[in-house]
Amino acid sequence: MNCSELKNILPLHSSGELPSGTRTECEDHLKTCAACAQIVAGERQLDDLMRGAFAAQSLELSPLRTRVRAKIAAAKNPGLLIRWRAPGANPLRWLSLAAACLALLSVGAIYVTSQRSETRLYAAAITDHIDDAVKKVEKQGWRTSPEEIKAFALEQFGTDAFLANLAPADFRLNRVRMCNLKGNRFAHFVFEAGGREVSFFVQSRAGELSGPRVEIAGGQPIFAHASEGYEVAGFQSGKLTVLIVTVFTRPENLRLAREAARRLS
Amino acid sequence: MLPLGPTREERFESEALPHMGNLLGTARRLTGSRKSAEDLVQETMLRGWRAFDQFATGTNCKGWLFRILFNLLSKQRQKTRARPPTVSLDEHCEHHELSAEAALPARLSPDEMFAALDLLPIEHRSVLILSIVEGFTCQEIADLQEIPIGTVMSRISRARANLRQILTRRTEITPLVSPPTLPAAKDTVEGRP
Repeated sequence: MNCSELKNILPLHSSGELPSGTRTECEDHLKTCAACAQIVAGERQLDDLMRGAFAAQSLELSPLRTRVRAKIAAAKNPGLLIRWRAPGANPLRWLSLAAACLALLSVGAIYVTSQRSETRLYAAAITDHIDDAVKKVEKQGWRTSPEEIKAFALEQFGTDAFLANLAPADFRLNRVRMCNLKGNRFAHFVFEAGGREVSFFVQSRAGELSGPRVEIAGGQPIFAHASEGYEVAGFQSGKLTVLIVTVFTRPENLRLAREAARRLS
Repeated sequence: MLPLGPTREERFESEALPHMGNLLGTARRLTGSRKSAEDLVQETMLRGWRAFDQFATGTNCKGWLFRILFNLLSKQRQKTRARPPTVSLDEHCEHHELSAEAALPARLSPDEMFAALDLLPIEHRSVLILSIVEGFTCQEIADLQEIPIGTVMSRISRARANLRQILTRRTEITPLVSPPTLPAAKDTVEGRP
């Protein structure tokens, strides 16, 4: 073995990975070559200095060990996640599993149905708004004078106090009539604002409104839906359920709902 | 009754956790900050825990954990590489011929050694630490870094020569590459929060 060959395999020599034959050849060369022997000795010195530095560095392991153990413990008990255990041959476990699946499916079906039902309600409000405020389809039953509208409110809701709080002060109440939104009777109030008509569908609060909730105003959720370029915002006060349909943007429509909810609360 | 063997937790506690100090010592020198090093080791241990069922008891747990650590480190470096232009490490590292002419200082403080080590490219630094400090063979390093054994040998030789050169001629050598190789070096003052 010559000096060049030795230098090429020095890392394997240092780590003890050389086969015994090659190792012997290395040792023989080092006995006769002072330059190579000096290189190997220098490497050992460097290695010792490096090991010494690493041994002397202070690494505070205890906090990290605690953190790792805590993380592992959390990974072992993932809170609300249910750990799957095969039911095996126990019929009671299979029955429990089937009951749980059925319950889950029922809840899911009820949720989906309620969502669809509310979506249909919002869509019906948009359709009614388009017919009455945009296309101006001729329909019977409109009350147009302030007196008639006041009488209508008293007749349907037992009060007219809410009329002043429904829309902003600069909105002018044009007319009202009763309408049917997918089986739900609502009073359709049409206001005018800036040359455009805005619909407020109002009903005495009976059930709970649901749908895609977007924010909370005055402790009550506000729901929103959009189709055909129109926005619906729905909310409930203590006594009323209100749907507002406009051609405004969603933030503008939500602002109308938010302010109305505050005034009516 | 059959005797019960150690649980998964007990096995991990006795086989994996004892290597955390080695992992942290290496990670500290490769990440450039104590916090990054601790985060890296924590993630390594968590990944190790999740995959511990795949680890065969009695085989090289330390090597297995180091392999996880280097995989994570490699992914972190890939993310950071896309941002700043970096120096191509192997090409820009001076290759000093093996030489014994300059004598090393008889004593060195850990800080002096680490400052010199930090001047080496991370590829060279890592193989040197794995080989000299952690005692891995060239083949084991090749396996855990997924590179050919020839590359490992070449990097060890060049790293040794360059480190020696830096230590013997510290005042004359300009840094080969910038020492920090990973982001989040906010707490670079050792020992302080």
